[in-house]
Amino acid sequence: MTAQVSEKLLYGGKAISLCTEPLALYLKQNGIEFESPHTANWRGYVGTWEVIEAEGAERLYLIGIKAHKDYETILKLSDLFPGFDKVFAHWFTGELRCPQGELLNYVHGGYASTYEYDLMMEFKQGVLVHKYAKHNTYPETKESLSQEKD
Amino acid sequence: MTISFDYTLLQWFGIYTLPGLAYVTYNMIKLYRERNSQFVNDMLLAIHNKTSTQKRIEDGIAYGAASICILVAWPAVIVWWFMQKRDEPDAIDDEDMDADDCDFTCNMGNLVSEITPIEAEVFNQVHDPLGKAPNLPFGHLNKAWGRLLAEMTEPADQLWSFFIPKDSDIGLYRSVSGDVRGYAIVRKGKIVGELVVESD
Repeated sequence: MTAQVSEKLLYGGKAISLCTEPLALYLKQNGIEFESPHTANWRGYVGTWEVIEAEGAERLYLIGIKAHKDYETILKLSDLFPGFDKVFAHWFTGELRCPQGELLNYVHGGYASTYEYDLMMEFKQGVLVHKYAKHNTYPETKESLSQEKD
Repeated sequence: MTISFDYTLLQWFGIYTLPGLAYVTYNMIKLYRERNSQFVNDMLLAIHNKTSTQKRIEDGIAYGAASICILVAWPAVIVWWFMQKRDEPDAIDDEDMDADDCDFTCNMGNLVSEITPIEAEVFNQVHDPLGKAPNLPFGHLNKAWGRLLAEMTEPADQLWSFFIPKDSDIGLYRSVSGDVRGYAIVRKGKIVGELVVESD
């Protein structure tokens, strides 16, 4: 599978890539599917997310989306969520992975490429409860493994 | 002579009611142990627009009448209990899992407890200070919740809550990065519908 175009996240005034699809549960529970415009976007949409602080807690909101109803028709946030300019992702419990830094290893599939480090953000019902950085290393090649054995 | 006869009859009636009394006592203890939390009670009272005194009086009358019926007609209760037991799905445990469960995120082993739709709605009020979620039970998933309830078409259908802990494997390829929570419809010991309300 081709490497997939990532969701976007606005956090701390920066736009970063997101190797998680927080909208997936909502779409599945409502039986919504989109048309894939190309092989780098099998899910058929790209969402823009933002972590916004309110009442002392940081929460995850969907603030924009471009979703392919068919090859030519693109749906916006107001089409999917009428009456809402932002959508609180209260259904999301889990980790968002935001790759940062230098690309260490490109993998031509999904979100499998490795970057210098991953910013991990843990949410509980759409509320940020914990975040940490996970440092990655260059993947071991066959050559380096054989050198270690010697 | 008449007084002695009545006394004997009363004694026999007392002995006759003992099984019924045991059954009532057992159910009272069970009800007490499985009682709702204060939070749920307060929310249910608010939903039904009742005071706690009204609720206590209603409960007292209902339980009192039921207890008298059981004391007097406990053989009929036993017959009814056996008929109910026969129609109920088999006990739920991990061994009941079969291929049908694979259609759903949860399986029989993930079920936590049976719950009423009202209780589920009380537990799933969504609060967002920015108002970016509908002020309805389950928020943006309210329509999906409605569809799940519409799937409860048979009288014996049960609504169960389920829970899958973080890092569990779901299906062949996926491990969840957070707890998964939701509701499932159980029919004759099998899951026939589900709504995942919380997942990654």
